[in-house]
Amino acid sequence: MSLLPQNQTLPLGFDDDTLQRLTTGLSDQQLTWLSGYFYGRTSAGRSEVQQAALAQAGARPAVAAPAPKLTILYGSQTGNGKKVAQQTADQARQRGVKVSVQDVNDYATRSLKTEQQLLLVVSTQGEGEPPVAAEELHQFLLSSRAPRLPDLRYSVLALGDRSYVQFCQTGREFDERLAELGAQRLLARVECDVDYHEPARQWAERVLDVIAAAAGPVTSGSSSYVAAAQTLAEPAPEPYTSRHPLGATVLEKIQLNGCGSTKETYHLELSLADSGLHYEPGDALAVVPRNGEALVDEVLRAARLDAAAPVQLSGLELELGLALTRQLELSVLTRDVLERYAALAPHHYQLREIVADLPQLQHYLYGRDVADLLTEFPAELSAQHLAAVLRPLPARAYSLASSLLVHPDEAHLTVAAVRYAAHGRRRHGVCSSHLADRLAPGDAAQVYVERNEYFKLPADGATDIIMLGAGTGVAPFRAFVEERVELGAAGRSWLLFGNPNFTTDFLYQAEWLQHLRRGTLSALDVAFSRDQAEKVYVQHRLLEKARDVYGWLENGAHFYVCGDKARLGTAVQEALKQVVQREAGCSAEAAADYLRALKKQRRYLEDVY
Amino acid sequence: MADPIKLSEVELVKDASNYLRGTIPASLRNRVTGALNPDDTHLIKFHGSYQQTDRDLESERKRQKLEPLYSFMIRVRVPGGVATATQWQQMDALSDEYANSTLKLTTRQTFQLHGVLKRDLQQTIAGFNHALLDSIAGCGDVNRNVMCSANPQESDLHRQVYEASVAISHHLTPRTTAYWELWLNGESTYSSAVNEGEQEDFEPIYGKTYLPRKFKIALAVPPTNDADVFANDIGLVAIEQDGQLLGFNVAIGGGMGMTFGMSETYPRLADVVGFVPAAQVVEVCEQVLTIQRDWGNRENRKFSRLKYTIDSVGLAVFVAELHQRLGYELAPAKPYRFETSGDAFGWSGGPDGKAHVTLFIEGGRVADQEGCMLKAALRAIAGFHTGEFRLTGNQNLVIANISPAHRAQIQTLLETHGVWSRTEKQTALRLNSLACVALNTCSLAFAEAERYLPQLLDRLDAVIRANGLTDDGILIRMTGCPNGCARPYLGEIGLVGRAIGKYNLYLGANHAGERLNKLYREQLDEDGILRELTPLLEAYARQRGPAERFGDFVVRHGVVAATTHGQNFHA
Ligand code: SRM
Ligand SMILES: Cc1cc2nc3c(=O)[nH]c(=O)nc-3n(C[C@H](O)[C@H](O)[C@H](O)COP(=O)(O)OP(=O)(O)OC[C@H]3O[C@@H](n4cnc5c(N)ncnc54)[C@H](O)[C@@H]3O)c2cc1C
Ligand SMILES: Cc1cc2nc3c(=O)[nH]c(=O)nc-3n(C[C@H](O)[C@H](O)[C@H](O)COP(=O)(O)O)c2cc1C
Ligand code: SF4
Repeated sequence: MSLLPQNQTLPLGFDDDTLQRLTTGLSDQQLTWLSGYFYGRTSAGRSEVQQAALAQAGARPAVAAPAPKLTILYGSQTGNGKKVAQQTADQARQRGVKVSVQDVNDYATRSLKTEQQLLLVVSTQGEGEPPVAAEELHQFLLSSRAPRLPDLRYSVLALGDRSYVQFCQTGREFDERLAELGAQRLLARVECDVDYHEPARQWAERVLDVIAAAAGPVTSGSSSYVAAAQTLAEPAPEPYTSRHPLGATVLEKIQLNGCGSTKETYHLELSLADSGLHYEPGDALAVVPRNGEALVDEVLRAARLDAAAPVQLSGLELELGLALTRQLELSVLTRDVLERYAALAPHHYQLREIVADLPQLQHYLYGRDVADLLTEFPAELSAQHLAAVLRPLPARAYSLASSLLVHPDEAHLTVAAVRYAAHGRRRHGVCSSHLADRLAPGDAAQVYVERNEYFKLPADGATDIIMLGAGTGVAPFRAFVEERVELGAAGRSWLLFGNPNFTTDFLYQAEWLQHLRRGTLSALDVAFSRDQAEKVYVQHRLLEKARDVYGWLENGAHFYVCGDKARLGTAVQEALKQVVQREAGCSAEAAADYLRALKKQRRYLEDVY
Repeated sequence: MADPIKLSEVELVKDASNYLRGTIPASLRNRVTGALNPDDTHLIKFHGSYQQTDRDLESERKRQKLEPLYSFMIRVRVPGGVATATQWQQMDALSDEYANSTLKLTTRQTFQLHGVLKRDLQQTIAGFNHALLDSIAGCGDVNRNVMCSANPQESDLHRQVYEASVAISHHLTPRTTAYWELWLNGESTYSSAVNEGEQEDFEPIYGKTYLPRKFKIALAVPPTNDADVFANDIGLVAIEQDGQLLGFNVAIGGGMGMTFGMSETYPRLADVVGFVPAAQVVEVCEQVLTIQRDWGNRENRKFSRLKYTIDSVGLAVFVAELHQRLGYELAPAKPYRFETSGDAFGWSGGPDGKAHVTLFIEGGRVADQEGCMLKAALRAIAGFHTGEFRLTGNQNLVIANISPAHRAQIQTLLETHGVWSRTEKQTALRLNSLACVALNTCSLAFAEAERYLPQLLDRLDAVIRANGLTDDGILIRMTGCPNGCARPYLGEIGLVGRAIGKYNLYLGANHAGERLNKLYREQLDEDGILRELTPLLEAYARQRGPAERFGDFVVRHGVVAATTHGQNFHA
């Protein structure tokens, strides 16, 4: 007798005869037992997800058509996307949907073929680049190797920031490519600006509604769904958020650059006393800035509007002057603002042209602020129109430079004052100058924590760390080293630091030298770019110390990079590849693989901005 | 049995240094600090450099979490203070390239650069070499720059004395090859150090631990004691006959330094112990030096100078040992007479038709300031001048042996750069002033000196003018601490810093550097200094004898008792 229904072909190269031969003489009971035995033996090696899927399949053997499994993937750099993904998964579970939620970093790309329902939450980093975690999937999907996915239904939630020209670029690319590959959208892509909570929640609700509708009536009863929906408040909310920041008193403000420096960097110590605000090294503190009086006046003048004019902003009435000072972004000009403005001032043909052409647009935005726009393309705008054209003033992130273990109730920041001249005016970055010029000890800064999920010390204190920081990029490493000293971590720590000039710009030098003397810092290398005829950057030191770098990495070290994106991002990765190539004596491709593996293991971590 | 000797830390460092190398190469390579390894800070002195910090920025940088602003002072030896125009140009250029754009002319006739960063040390020192200068033994427990009168008008005698000073300097220069190795990439293209192809480092005179302390030699040609010979371990007074050098009266055991609150420390003038013919002067210097090498105190550096060695064994014993080592006795000293230890300013002519001009350089600092572009003027002059630049022991500068064709041009340059009026229009009090470096670079300073004395002089000048003393040279010398770098105990008015804004006032030295002064008042602020000095200057104007100097006047009037020996300085 055949073990199988008629006309069914066998998978995995089995044929009927073989099966017959293998099972000859076994009773039905024995056969049933064996099936369980073999199932157990193989599933021990499977991933959690696969097991969950198999368990589900096993639990409800093909009785009715099972609701298709839902996979939620997140590609996240600083943890926003992860949070959203987990909340969405919770919502799904409340509705009785079987769901698995996974970091795209740990996702096997070939599993994509077997997915039926996929939600992808992904942020955009760099200049429109995917977060490190999503690099591999991104590359795979956009390549010609990507499989057709006709059976997949999906939706993308893109996280981003409208102040970047390539807003939500990565989300867009995933969304469009999946469609190209034949997958069908459950719901159109939703793009979130900095304030992503509400749109993300709505996206989750709607996409889960679609899924529910497709799966038919929920058997477990709608009452439980309603009850569950009511408990869907944000889980474990942060005590302080952009809407409800903490007023943290400035305890100390020190200009860190010695006199004669070309740089202006401040060390700020903020009080967290009685706030319950908690952070870990690697996290950032978001600071809610206010615009300076001079810029507000400049904008009012350019718009020929009165500071006292009333405007409505998110349902509240306030004076335009106040709105410009506290609520709206003026110091940088972004694409969204330009687009809205161009729509309001259609007679500016040239502006329309700029908006329509990406290179021109980028060129125009650089170094210009709202006052420039209003001056160069004047339009008759009401106060309300102006308020509506501008974008909300977002908080700026600053890496925490302290460990709570060493400075309980304090948060230290290392802030570079952004100042430059462009188009005939002196300009000051809104938040850095707010901190540098407008807040004095005793004043309060409005802050909340911006978690950075991944840029964290190794869980095991015995792991070595290599920290490469340029400029203010050294900030988190001060926190790292403080924390490791306090925890008595046994692993070695190596700092590589770069800035323009040794005598004036060696941020926290005295502290590093003390750590070095005490052995709490194992190695310190510095590069001061302008101290000699030829420019020397910190990545050059990496090459000089190639043997040690490779040795440390082979020994399991984690490698951290923090600081200016333009200066560090690719340059450090290139240097590291050269290090590996030289020391391992391998090909460029193998070195690239080595780096990729480091990233995947989350041992190469970047926090560049 | 005597306790075993407990050598001072510096002695141990020298001993372990392999002829002054220590770990200097590693110190220089270390990029994370602007400082050297602590032990190397002792050794670098022998190479002519001091590690310093900018004391003005001390507390600010501490707050900024930066290490102190470390930099290096480098002292370039110029035996007898005679530099060529090319050498001047080179020092000028190096000061702009690597230092704080000033040149300091010191009380021992050397150049100092300030503010050289560790990473530039090697190139700077190599830069001296290009102009046939060096900094070896600029500082450290060795014989320092040999001083010599700068008075060029007596050219033939001066030349002979100068040659003696060069010969002494040459003979007593350390021979370690560490200097070439560290700074000149191993090339011995030029250094005044002697090394006759020795395979291993070998110091025939010093031995590997060098001297217990610094050692100083100066030569002067009476009647001008501009080198302040009696403030030196060895002072040599040139004795001439018919314009030809016969030899020198030898004085030993001078030194200025003392420590507040330790009366066992004191300034002391050298004792004249005999006469030596010119041909033997080098050998006498070597023997005095080697007795000090063998007998000097190596346990406590406060008592290591020759002056304490002599006073601890007694002058007679020391001289007997000297005679023994020489194998002959010094002849009795010959008569001589010093009139002044100050400089004569302005133009003078030598017998050969060449001219010289002595410029007043306030505080010895060659810099450009609004209204007085001194550094620029001298740079311009160095571009064509065919004679020398002579640094005086009073921190001043003689442009010497000016060819007649250049005289007018030089005068014009000095005038148009605002330099000439600084020499011409001053009170003689200011022209006779000396101030040590003190703040912001000297780590030992308690108070300001170079940066402050000019302001104090503005107020004192008013008193001087009001009393008709404008042309009366009175030696006024200020230091920021009692170490005595501007030889304040030989000032008719000596001001020695106790604390910021507070000075001890010493009076009664004679004008020729032959009698120490004595403490008159302690801890005076500026008003206090004016209050104390005004009545004395008024009395001096009214009651002085013919040609009586201020220092002699105050002693005659019993304002202070005369100091007759270092050992009764504090009495
Ligand atoms: C530059 C100069 C003063 C000036 O304004 O011209 C000077 C500057 C310093 N002297 Fe001096 N001394 C200078 C002539 C003198 C003199 C005058 C002389 O030699 O005719 C003396 C008194 C004579 C003597 O040696 O007794 C002198 C007695 C000292 C002492 C005390 C020595 C002692 O044995 O008591 C110290 C401190 C020490 O050696 O421990 C000292 C130490 C110093 C140091 C290096 C401070 C230090 O040890 O850290 C000063 C560096 C300051 C700076 O920032 O440049 N300096 N020093 C003079 C450089 C001379 C040269 O070119 O070699
Ligand atoms: C995770 C993270 C951590 C960070 N950590 C730190 C930190 O530890 N310390 C720190 O100082 N910063 C840090 N930053 C950067 C910080 O958040 C702000 O971006 C920075 O302070 C500038 O903000 P601002 O409001 O002062 O300037 P804005 O008002 O935002 O102005 C900045 C803009 O000015 C323009 N601009 C700047 N310079 C020029 C120029 N020369 N010519 C023309 N245009 C120019 C650019 O368009 C630039 O985007 C971090 C950023 C992130 C994302
Ligand atoms: C260095 C840096 C670069 C960024 N670049 C972009 C960008 O090019 N386009 C964009 O839309 N958002 C950009 N963003 C904004 C992030 O996408 C946004 O902060 C998002 O909420 C981060 O989500 P995550 O924590 O899940 O990574 C950038 C953020 C940072 C810190
Ligand atoms: S006298 Fe004192 S303060 Fe002045 S330079 Fe010498 S050591 Fe420094």
